Amino acid sequence: MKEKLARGLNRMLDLMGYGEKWREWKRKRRAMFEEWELMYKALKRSPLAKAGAAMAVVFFILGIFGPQILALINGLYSLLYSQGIIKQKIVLDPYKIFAGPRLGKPSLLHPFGCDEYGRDLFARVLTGARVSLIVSVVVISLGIPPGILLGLVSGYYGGKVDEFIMRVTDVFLAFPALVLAMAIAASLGAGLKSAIIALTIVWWPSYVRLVRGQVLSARENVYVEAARAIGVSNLRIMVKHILPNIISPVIVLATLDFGTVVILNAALSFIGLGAQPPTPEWGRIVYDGLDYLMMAPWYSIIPGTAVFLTALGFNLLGDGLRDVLDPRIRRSIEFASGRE
Amino acid sequence: MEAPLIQVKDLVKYFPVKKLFITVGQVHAVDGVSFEIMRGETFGLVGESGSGKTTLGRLMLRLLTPTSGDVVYNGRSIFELEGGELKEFRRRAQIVFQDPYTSLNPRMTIYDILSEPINVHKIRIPDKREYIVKLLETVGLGEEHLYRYPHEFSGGQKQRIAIARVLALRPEFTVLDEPTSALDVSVQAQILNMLKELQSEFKFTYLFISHDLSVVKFMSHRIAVMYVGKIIEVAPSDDLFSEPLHPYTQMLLSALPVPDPKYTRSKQIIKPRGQVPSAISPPPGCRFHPRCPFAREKCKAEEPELREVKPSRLVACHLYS
Repeated sequence: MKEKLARGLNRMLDLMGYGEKWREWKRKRRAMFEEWELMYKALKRSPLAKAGAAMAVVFFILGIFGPQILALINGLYSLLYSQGIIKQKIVLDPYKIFAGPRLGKPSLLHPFGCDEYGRDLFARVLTGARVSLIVSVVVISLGIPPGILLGLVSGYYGGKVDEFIMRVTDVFLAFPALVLAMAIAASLGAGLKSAIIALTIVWWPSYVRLVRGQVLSARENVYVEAARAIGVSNLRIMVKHILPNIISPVIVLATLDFGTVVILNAALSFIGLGAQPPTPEWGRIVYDGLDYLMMAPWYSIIPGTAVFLTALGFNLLGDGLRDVLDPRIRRSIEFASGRE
Repeated sequence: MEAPLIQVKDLVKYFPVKKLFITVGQVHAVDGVSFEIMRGETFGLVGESGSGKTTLGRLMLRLLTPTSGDVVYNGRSIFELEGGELKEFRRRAQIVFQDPYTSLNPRMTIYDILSEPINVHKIRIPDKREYIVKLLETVGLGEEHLYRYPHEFSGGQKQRIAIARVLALRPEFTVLDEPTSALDVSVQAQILNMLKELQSEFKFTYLFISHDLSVVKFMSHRIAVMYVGKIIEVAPSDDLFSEPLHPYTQMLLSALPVPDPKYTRSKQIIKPRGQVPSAISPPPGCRFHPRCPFAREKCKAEEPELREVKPSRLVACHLYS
């Protein structure tokens, strides 16, 4: 079946005149495809990594398609209402007050219960996934590139440049991440935006450290010297020869950090420096629920569990990736899966 | 007489030895070396491990900066070159490394590895792919290897790829830093023959570094012997083997096995005394004197200079003064 499809595709491309180009493109990237296949196989072999990947994927799907999911459920509810199966009209909306009973227990219609204003907690936690996703994507994608760049420069050139960059990095690393983020967020004024800025500022130094260390060992490789002998420029050596060979631990750390950012952002909101009400942010919801912990324990526990599961998922995935990307461990997997 | 392609003038390279940020000594890796290489010649460089052969090779390509001294290429000091001129030098002078297992970037396909020199120097060729396939064919590989990664090749094949990378630029001068010492004997012979054929085809100049005397004899026109950072003897290949002058060279050659069971050694093996001196604190005077059977008082105090004692025979030893 699969082969038939591939043959059909090839014939179609041939007819369109792209056949040879497509095959050449595939030949060029054969090794890359094999690499991915291998990583996929290796991930599949580890149940923990699989579970982590599943959690991470669920987090992404909920974050991206949260509103659509809510709309779908609301559509179902209005259908049920029009059929007379449920008595009152219910709309799940993270901001709509008195959508359900105050501090209502989890029920079929309000699966996670309601808060003290009668807002539906399912809608709020679901929307919170999107807030956390945006924060972690922004922080990771803005915080890591400068870290990689500075680490590359620092490790490759060494000397005074290295000394300067590393001492500045040390200053940032001297404070615990949360304390520094709190200080920055507080000075910028509470809000989701300042939480993002604070976390981004906190985030790059650990990558400088990591990348620099990797570069220090990678630049001693003979192929780097060979590139220099050919006349390759420093920039090209850094980007083409060193970076691809040191990127694995960066990918692992970034995956682990996805979870950490979610936790820290929740922590900032929890102490009131991050997202402000009525923004449905997980840490904030946990804090709001504290007053009613005895009467409505689900109020705090459910968003707390969401934070926990997200962080756990990324940690398991990161550990799994580390095993896959570590050549020594991977070799054993290669042998086990019958590939030399 | 034709001007030499490369002149090495009193080249010195010390590496500092640090303990807790304090420099406690210096490794005298290359310590005052001078010689010339003619165009189209293979200049052999022998010496034991740690004698500074590799450092010398790297200095001559400006992969290291010397402590003092100079390397003159085509009439210009290579350490003064900048910008475009340096790039031009990089195109003309190339190196093949000892260990083919680490000299190719594991994340690049053979196509990427071989197209890099062409891209960097913007060499104009009508069909890059065809050119690279031709390069591969020159070194005995083929089109089917184009999109493979280095780890999919054997050591000998990797070394062929490294040589193809050098060929891509058609360099005038190539440093061959023990190109065969990581390979087994049958592959060694193939690579060496290939290098020789390439030389006669493209008129390359080689600096051939090795610790294997028979390989150096096979490859080189002239040979220099290094001992603890210094060149102690330079001679045409055949002369060096028929009539070694320096006691150290004699010692080296007498240790060379002869592949003939009926052969009995005409001369006795000269047995070395003691150990190779530390390159951090080399002995005063002649560096070989603590081990030399012919050492005299003068050898302990005065450092012998490399002088011409017979036509085209240079030796640094007080025995010949």
